[in-house]
Amino acid sequence: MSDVILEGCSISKTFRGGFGDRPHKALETVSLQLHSGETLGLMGPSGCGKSTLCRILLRLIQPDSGEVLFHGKQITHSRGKDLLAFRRRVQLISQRPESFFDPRCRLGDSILEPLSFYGLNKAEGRDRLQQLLSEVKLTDELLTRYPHQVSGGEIQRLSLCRALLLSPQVLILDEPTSMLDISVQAQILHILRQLRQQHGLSYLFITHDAETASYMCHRVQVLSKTE
Amino acid sequence: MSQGIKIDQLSVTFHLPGLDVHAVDGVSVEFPGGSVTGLIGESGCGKSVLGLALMGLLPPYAGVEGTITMDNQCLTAQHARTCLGTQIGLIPQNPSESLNPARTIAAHLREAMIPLKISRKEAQEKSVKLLQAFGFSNPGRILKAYPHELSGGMQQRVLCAIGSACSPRWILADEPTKGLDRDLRSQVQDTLLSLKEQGVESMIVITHDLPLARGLCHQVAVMYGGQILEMGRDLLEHPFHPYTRAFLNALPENGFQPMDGIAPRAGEHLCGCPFAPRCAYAEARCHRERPGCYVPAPGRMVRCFRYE
Repeated sequence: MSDVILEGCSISKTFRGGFGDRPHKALETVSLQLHSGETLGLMGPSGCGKSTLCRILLRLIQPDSGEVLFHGKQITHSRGKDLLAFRRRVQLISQRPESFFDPRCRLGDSILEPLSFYGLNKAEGRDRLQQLLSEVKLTDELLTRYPHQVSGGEIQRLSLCRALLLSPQVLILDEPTSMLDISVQAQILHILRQLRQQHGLSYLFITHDAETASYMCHRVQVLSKTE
Repeated sequence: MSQGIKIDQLSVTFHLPGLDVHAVDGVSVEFPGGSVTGLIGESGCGKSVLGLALMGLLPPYAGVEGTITMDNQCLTAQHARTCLGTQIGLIPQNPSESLNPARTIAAHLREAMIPLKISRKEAQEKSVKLLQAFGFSNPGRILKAYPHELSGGMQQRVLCAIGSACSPRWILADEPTKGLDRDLRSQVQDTLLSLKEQGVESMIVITHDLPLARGLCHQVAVMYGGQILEMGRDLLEHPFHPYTRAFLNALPENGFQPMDGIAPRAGEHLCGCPFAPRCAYAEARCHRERPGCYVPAPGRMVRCFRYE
């Protein structure tokens, strides 16, 4: 747990308001370092910029200032193949996993779709998916269903399979259990801890629950509201 | 005071192509007037469908059997819909999805007050008072706002105001704290408690937020696989049913111990106890026969052969 795998340096982000609205400063010179193999908790009240920071680290939005480094390499302004390679290694698990799946596609097709972006073999992907399904305690019968035909806990576990299929190094977990029942929450947290060990993953775990953070995280960083 | 809502052998079945989903399976329960009853259980256990059946809001393709009575009067789906707002107020789940993004909060509240048949000006005045009662210091600004301009906690308070706009005697709150952070959850709990001051006599709170159930409810019913397995006072402190115990073990203070096995799938209809396939104490009889209602302690009901 020594090398820094993902790093944000002095990140600031302000969202410009509409007519008459004041600009909203979401992040002000925020820095964090995620070490290899660790789970770093990111806590703070609603609206403190946790999800904005996570979107910047994923390169989904650009910061106004500051840098994002992956294995010490600057990726803040990466494009093309460099960005594609980065996106494969850093995956997002959201609190709304259903948003990852096309409601008109069967779950299996949605899970295997990212393989084509990277030119990976679909047959090998299918075999690996079978193994992942057993790791998250699901059966392949679910793959023929549509997103509305599975429960919240099942679709969150399928979104984990979708992310792990690309062999990522980092998972950014944005409140992955906040919309789930207590019993399903416990199952998902248990599975996440097992997967971290089995796949040598690093987690950036965003939560607003102190008990969840103390159960999951090696270190916790707390964000406060800027204004 | 209301005499309560009584549900007798209620079953709700959704007939899908090649599949019958028994969402509520022969539920008999009484929600006493003047008290707050919590309905807890995992997603998909039938809590919300039971709530929709109470309100007469089930889709036409749902097969409904059994009876619901309110104050000793039969509450048919048609009658329930006429009571909606005036007798029973609904606080739906997912505040951001329950409010129309293209309409202001004032328009939402005006619509909720249609049964009162009051003028637009009176509705405006009542809206201001309602919002003040739910802790908004600047109700004029809130009335002009669109839902996206409010935080999750504010949207939830607006929904509480809409639910209690016609001063109903009953409130049905469906997962009022789902997805909210701890501060907002306690804010919503205070808001629900303040509904009593708005003339609400009784509440049914559907939730899987156990701290909310502990802080708000006089009695709690535990649902699993479309059935109520346990009900009574102090249930969260002294659970009897193996499912309730396993459910409480998954709480953070008990170390997030996951429950073994998987919940029954949609369409899976079990003859005996629905929890038997996951239960550490299950006997052959549990898989075969449905347990009756047993009384392990005063004011408690449990459906488990261990308490026969």
